Amino acid sequence: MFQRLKNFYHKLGSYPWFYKISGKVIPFVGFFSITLIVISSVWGLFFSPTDAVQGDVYRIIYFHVPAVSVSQMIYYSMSVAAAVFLIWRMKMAGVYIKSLAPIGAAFTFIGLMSGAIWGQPTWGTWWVWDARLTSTLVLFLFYLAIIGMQSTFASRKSADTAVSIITLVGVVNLPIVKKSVDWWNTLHQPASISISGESSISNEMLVPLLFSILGVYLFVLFTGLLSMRAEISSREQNKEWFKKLLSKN
Amino acid sequence: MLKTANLSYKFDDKYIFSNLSFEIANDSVFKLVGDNGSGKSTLLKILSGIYKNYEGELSCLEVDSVFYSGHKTGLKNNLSVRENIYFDIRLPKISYSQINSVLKKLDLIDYSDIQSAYLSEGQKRKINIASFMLSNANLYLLDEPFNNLDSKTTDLVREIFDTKVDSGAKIIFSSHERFNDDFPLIDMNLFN
Amino acid sequence: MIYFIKILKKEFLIYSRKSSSFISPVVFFLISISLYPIGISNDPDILKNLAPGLIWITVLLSTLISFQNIFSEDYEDGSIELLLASGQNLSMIVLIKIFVNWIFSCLPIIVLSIFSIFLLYLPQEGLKPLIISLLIGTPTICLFGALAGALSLGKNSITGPALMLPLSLPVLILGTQAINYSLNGINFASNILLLTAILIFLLPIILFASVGALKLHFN
Repeated sequence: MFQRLKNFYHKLGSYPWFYKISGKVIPFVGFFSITLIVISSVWGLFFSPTDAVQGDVYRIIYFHVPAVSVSQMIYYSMSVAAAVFLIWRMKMAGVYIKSLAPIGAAFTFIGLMSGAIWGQPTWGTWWVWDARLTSTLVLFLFYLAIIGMQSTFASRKSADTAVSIITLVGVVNLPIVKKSVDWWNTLHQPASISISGESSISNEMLVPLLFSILGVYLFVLFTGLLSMRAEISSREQNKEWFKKLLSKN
Repeated sequence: MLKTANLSYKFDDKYIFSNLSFEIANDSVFKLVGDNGSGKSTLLKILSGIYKNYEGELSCLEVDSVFYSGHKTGLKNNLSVRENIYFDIRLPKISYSQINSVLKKLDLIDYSDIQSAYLSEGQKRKINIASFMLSNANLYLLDEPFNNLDSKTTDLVREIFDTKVDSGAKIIFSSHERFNDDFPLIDMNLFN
Repeated sequence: MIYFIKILKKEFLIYSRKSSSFISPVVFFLISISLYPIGISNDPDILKNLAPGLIWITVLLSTLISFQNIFSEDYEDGSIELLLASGQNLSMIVLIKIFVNWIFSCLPIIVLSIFSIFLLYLPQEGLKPLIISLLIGTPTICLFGALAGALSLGKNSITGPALMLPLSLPVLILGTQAINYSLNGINFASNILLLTAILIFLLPIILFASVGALKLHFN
């Protein structure tokens, strides 16, 4: 059992294996993710019941909640990859961070925008500097820092190492920022706007939301695999295994 | 004293040189030759401890201190020639009179209080020679020390090589020029 | 030990010969402080409420700018290579550089911030917490600046600020909070103690990370 895990771990770090498996998996993942997103969007936008308090505006949560959830999950996974890269020097981890960062940044941005669109009609404001929104903005900044840092170093290994350092610094700093802003806000004006107050959600609204979340996660898997394949191609373009792969097709 | 076994260096998955093995024991001066890009500077940087991510083995015994001189001069623009030498991190504490005597030998004494930004390339190289002369290391790693030097200074440096060797130091220097010397060669072209 | 004193003297000489090292932060500070009354409002009642935050933010931005290039000159002229070859303890050397940079870029501003009593109508009671919080908080911000500078080596990238500013948020909050507390009659000692604790805790960690980041450029 342990031996199987070890084999899997070694395979995970192997570019040719990943390339082969991802090539098979991507069409399915893509198909399912887009299907789920379309279904959940149509269901959520048109067929789920109107909310008693918020009216029809609440439907944006079918985009907002998955986007925010996935933006944080991507960052946590990147910090695991960063630790793996720094400790065990697994090159695939460096590829992972570089490929997923733009996707995470995009979804963080979608989350921020959709949150603003939700906030304006619901609570009367596009933005509020509470702990949650501020730390999401800081998360967006860290994603941008990671993307920006990729081109600063001459050697790829140095770039991957620097980016891993930044990712880990961020994962430590984000909770600190959240706590600090929380503390700051509790001492200033008590929030007249309580964004965190989410009413319990009925099942008819919940099911499309779950589909949407699943769809978005699969979509991230889809684009993430594509992005990693592209990154591996660019890094290994002069290697024997890659040239053989290209000539076979 | 200095020994390498199967030393290789990789930059972004491409080997600059591989399986380099040599030993420095009895001979004192080694000349490092090779085409451009064959890894001369890289090898010197590995030996001096700047690059640590090499493959293979490297062992240095009886090396108390290393003096490295590279392509870049390490000179601070707004310090004078004297101050640059006095504060050179490769040197131990030295007195200004020692610096003055060295500057006289190198014909730099008239420039000793001028900020090094105003000197020519060759003069900046000479300041590095001054540091080289004042160093008491016992392993010298010099990357193209004869670049940009006039013939008078070149002869002076050759004399200094002899002085250093007599006091027990070892020197590895890289060069493009084919002098009439018979130092043992390390030819990087063989390991590319 | 003598070696580090030599490096300390060398850094002092270099910084003191470059007048821009202490003039630039001063000029930036003065310009910013002048922009706030013009751009926001010159009503003393408004400005005196904003003063603690405005001063802290200006100090933060100014430190950011002056630390972007802390290692760039040494990298360009090969001094860092020589440091690596010398086998000396890089952490001490980086600490010395941060210290000297702090003296030349933060200390003049901290002195100048005293004038915010007049320029931003900060009440006099706010002066003591202002100076103390700046004195303790700016070294931490300088640590973050050094890490950002070591990663970007002065190239005009946005990653330096993007990294350093989120890290400095807690320090910023604690610092402005200290001044506001004092102005409202609350004891601000806990803020200062927390700032000191953060500095002591982070000093070895960020130094280690900065040295590692510097070495990354030599691969």
